[in-house]
Amino acid sequence: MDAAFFRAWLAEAAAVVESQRDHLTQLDAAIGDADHGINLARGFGAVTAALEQASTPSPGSVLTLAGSTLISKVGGAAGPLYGMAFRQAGKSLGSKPRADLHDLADALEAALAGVQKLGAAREGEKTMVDALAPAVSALGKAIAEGAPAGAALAALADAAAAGAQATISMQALKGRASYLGPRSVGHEDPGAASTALILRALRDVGARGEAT
Amino acid sequence: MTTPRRYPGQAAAPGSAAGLIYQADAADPGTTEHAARPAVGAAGAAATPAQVEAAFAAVAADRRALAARLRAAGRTDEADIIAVAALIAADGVLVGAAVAATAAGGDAAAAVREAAEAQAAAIEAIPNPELAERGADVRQVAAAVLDHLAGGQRDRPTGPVILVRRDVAAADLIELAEDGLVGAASVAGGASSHAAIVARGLGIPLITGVDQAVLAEPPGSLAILAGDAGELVIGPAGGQWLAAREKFAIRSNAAPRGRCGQAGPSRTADGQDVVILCNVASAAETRRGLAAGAAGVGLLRTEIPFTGRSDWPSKSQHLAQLTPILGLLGGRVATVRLLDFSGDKIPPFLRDAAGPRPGAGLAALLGHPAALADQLQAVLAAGRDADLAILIPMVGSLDEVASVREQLERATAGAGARTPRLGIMVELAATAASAEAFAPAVDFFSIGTNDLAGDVLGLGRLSLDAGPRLAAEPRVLALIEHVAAAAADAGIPVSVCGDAAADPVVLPLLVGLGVRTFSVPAAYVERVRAWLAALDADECAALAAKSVTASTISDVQDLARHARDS
Repeated sequence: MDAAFFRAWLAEAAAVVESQRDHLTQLDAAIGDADHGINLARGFGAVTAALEQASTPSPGSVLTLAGSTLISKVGGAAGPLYGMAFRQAGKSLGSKPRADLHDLADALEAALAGVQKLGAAREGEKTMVDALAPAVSALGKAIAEGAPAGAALAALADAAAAGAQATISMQALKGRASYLGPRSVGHEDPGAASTALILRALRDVGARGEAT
Repeated sequence: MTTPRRYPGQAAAPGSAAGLIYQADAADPGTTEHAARPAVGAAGAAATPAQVEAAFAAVAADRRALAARLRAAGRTDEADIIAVAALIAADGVLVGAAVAATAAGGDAAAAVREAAEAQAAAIEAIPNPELAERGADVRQVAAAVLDHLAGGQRDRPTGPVILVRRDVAAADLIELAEDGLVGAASVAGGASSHAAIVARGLGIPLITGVDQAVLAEPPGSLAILAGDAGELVIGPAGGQWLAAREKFAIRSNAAPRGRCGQAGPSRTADGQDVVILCNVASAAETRRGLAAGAAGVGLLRTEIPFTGRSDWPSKSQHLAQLTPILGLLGGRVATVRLLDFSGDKIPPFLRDAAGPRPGAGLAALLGHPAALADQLQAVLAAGRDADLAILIPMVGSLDEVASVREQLERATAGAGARTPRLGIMVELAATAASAEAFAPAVDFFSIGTNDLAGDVLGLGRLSLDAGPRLAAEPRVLALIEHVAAAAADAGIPVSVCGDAAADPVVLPLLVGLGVRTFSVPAAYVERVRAWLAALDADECAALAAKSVTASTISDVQDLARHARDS
């Protein structure tokens, strides 16, 4: 997976987030301030524009630029959290021209650690961690079992989707949604939902045969 | 003698009380709105960032422990409310801002207040009304943190106290209820605040939206809180205070001893069956009413959480209110009143359209069939297992009944549910006078004594001195007699769900007029049961017959006193 692959992932993520903008906003309206879809679509739009203009020779530089852009363009809690995730992943990949599945797994692990540190969130608290953490585990397991890239990325995306679905029955224990107490139960967490979408984009780009 | 100071406010939890003023915000630097100036002389101003962080952590731990105690006692709803305060006190965004501002060399108390104000303002700007309402909880957490920085608990009040605070918190009420709290008045907040829900559950009268000048009233002042009329009177004449104290003592919050959980049928002294139901707007009240032996809910006020809203509540918002309440009832009676946006409960979005006309709220609801359908569908879904009845408020015409019945049938067919009984509130004088015309069109009558008395006597708001007892006015009694007779002729049940049913003078008269079903505030169930058990139905009938033809309310009271003493 080279820099072009990661640029393709972010372009795909931007398209998916844009297409699901209203859905994400509706999820956020139930337990938050109804701006997650709008904010994230704007942020990934800016990421696409930034990647077109700047030179990003390595996978690490692609993700670092994406992270910095998200921090500066996305408001609320989502900007810093996603920004931290991409920057940590970029830092983990360093300046190597290509990344293999192991590198990707390490990068996503670093992203998860960054999000958990910044948000002080653990699994089960109805946050994006509930999509990201099982996805990272699933990827690691698939690699350990010797799965090919396509299958490993599918396992990653499926686990993220299942994790996001599982937030429906959770009570929020972090962020503003926690102020709703038990009333936050019954709604999918918008951050977990968008994380699942972004990882689905990674799977789809991989399935096009670019994850070599 | 000084003149009593009167503070009007909005009735958030019903009832009345006489007590001594307890100022919980004594450490507050003043009465200016969220003062940014340093807290002159306030302890805690010089706290370090670590102390600020520790104070938040202490408040979070304190709230978590209180929530656990409540949960262990089966008070799940109050526990959920307090647990939210614990989460807010542990919110990194809030704590981080306060700690950072303190570390930057700020006054710690000001840093906490400003961080809370910024977070509360951000929450309140969110277009999710339920989340926006939590802004008040943020400020209450900050107030508790400031208390902690100032050296923890002040002297606990003793005796009958009326809590006065800028922003009364649910936790204040729960904690002080054990120390003789009889009432509360809040500068901030509304009828849908957590504090209001808890106050109603505890049976503690609460008024909100009181002028902040009340915060400067001397602690320990004599005061009378008229929760229903929405007024706090500070510094009444001593004699008046004592009279009020005596009058309200029987309705005070103190839990009756030795009767808790008493169940089984209620009877009068001569063995007549009577049914006691409870009036509720929250699960906490419902739990309290059922624990006291209520046979079900005779009046579920559905509009209470929505009186501050900017649009009709959605089906899911109705479900969020109804499900926790109706889920407690099993197969018991659940009488759900349709949204009653009338009187002082008109939300902003209806204020221009509705105006002061009684019944305007019902007209608005009927004018928005989608809003009515949302509510009916939610009631049918949440009340699936209960013995469900729908109650239409402020009915003035048969057309209104027909219109609701048509929508109800459509909703029932859509849900595949059993058709619930459909009844009307008889609370307009004209409706009561023509009860025989309404009786064939409905399944039951429920008499709302407060509004009926107000309409008959031409009062906009019930006065402090009379309250529910106005139902004993002979003209009101004559109308109640007429309604009860029309119900008997048509073979439909009649109940009284107004506060008069919980008044010891009016209750025998209602029994005497043939009423056998009473729905009373959850906190009064046991008292009413005890009063009924001491009444003889024949004696009540004789008393009622004389009272209906009496000329004034004081004649009726004399008759009642004579009957009781003989």
